[in-house]
Amino acid sequence: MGRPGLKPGAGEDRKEAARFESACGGLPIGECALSSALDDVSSRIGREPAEGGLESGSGRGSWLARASARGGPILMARPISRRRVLQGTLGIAGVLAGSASGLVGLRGWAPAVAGLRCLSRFEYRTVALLATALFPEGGAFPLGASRFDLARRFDGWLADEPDEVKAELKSALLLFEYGPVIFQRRLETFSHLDADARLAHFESWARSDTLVRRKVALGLRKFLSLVFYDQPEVWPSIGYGGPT
Amino acid sequence: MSDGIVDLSVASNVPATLTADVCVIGSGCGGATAAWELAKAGRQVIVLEEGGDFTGPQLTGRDGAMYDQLYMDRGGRATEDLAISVLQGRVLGGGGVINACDVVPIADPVLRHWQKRYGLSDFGPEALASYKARALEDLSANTPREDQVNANNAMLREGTRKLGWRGEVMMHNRVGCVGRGTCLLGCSYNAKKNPRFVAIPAAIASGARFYLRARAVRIDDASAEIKTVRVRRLDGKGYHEQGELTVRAKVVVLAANAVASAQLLLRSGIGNGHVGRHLSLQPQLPITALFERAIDSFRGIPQSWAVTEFEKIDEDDGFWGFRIEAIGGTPGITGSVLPELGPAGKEMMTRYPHIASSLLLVPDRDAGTVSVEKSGRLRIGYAMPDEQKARYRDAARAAARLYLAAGATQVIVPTAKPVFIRSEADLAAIDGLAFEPATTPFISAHQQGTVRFAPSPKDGAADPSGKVYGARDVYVFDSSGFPSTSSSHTMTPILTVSRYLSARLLAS
Repeated sequence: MGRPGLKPGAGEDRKEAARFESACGGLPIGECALSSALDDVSSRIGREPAEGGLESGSGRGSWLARASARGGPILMARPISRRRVLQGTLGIAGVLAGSASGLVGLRGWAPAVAGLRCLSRFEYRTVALLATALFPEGGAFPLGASRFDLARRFDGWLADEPDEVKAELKSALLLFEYGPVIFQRRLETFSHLDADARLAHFESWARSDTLVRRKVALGLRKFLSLVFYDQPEVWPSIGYGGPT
Repeated sequence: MSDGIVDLSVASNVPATLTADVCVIGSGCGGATAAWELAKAGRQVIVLEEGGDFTGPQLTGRDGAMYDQLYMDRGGRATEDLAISVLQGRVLGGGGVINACDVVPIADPVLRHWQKRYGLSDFGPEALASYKARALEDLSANTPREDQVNANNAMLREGTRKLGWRGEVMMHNRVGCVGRGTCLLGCSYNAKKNPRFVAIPAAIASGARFYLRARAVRIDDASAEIKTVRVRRLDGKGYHEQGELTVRAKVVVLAANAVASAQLLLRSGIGNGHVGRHLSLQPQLPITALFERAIDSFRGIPQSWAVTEFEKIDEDDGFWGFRIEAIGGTPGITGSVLPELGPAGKEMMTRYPHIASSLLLVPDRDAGTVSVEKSGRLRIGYAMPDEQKARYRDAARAAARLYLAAGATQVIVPTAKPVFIRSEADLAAIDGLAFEPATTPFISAHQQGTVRFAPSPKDGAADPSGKVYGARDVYVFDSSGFPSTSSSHTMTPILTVSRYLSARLLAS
């Protein structure tokens, strides 16, 4: 993949903001920590970003594989300075006070992905990074989710689902992406977390006291697990000889 | 396509309106059997099936493609809170194509329970005996040989014997099984004697026609002599609707499973307030155990041994208690059930050949509902009573004890906060399981109820002949009519009742 995608236009932002408001509409009011997140903004100003500069998407191999191997966030287009973080955070705080559309800025940029049928580049990024968190490369066996582009398979599956299912799952992905902001009072969305924190974030959803979060986690996990372990390349590593 | 089977995704010369004496909706155990009996008696029969026809090598044994093509909602059907995965066949031959082949007829005390508690005097053991025998004959029912009880089942049996509990090798409907182990994704060796290879060819030989990729969406004129069934043609994968046709028939027989039959009645505005109520999902809870030795649960017959020590069958409560049955799973479904993720999850899956699995089958009653939103979207509601949750905890403790007795190093209850049991001292951890929705990988493979048979419309949605109250000659011949859970496995009960009701229809 070459250069990362362009910053999304205002129309895309508005659509995402609308979906976000819709997604949050199903939550118990006490669960939604938007105002608390806003309160946290000032206390976080001046804190160094957890990760340093990030490379653009030039070089060999997929951006996902490279990012996964590096274990760091993969969404920013170019190195970001502390000054930019401060500016951005202050800007976000201002917009947050006005409407949910301010949260859209927290998602950063995502590389363009050719050939998607249903997911936006941001939704694709969420699924891809979740897949690599659930099935990282290395460990008990080398293969990980990045080898199989599970997010594209998710995109292909979702594209053939009824419209209401598409809408629900897109809302679910949006909610999951912004989960750290909404539920944990962080100023980072899921895709900005490091690899360990992404897995921890997912597990916190799977074990949450809130049904909507458990539903999102369960639905995503079932799909990704089923597809990952259905890959013949994985089978030798788990002692399965295939459906002979 | 063979004669008698028309795939609407590709057929170009199908008239916009088809006519028949009988339109059967669903081609599984209920629908195919009814089609066979009615066609044999000289009726013109059309059968509508939403799925495609998959046999032999088309049944690849791959989780992704097969759940997508053989199961309703591409394997994603679930209760609205995602607490229970609702597995339902969507393929020519229905659930019989994708089940574990267990042949467990309705026990006589269950039929007496139906008579005593639900007033179904016509459903006595004597009245159904010949139909039960015929169902066993259709299925070529037989008991697996000793060498067909694989290690996964043998481990559970060993624990059963060590604890002195009751258990049995279940009958099945396989003939010529080679032990591929992918029964839940269909048998590429065509070794299952299911409707696809028994009732459907026989029905076709008697003149019935089966239309595939045909989604029945509404029944109009339900009070008129001629009913109109509105059908959407689906594409080759069954994903998208691409046209319409209608079937006009004097009689409509619903046999699309307890969920879909009720859904169609509700969408059509047919029936009384009982339609969609009284749903039994008979949810099953997977439990796994690790052994030092290789189990290879994915090879051989996945399910042959049942622990029957705790099941209770009598005329007061019907089928009750709980039952533990071994089960083998393909990698995709196993990976989606095990609780660990990330590096620990991968580590766990490297022990896949050492994992034994079973299902805790707990009969339920009236806990669910089927409803349809204004948009036409299906909703399956289910509220698990505390008493039922207590039986799952009892069953989990029993299964853990069985596996430990058989030598397991660890037993796992795969809830979101998993319970790991390494000795009997750990069993107390099961007491804390609350089974909140979407924390536990419950599955339902035996949906029943929703169009309950009852002698009066105040107690049910269909009369004891299967005729839906408030409609003219619209019938249900599947598990929708069962007033309580019929058996631990519904294939044989559905075959039995469908043939019985078909005979009654012909006699009337």
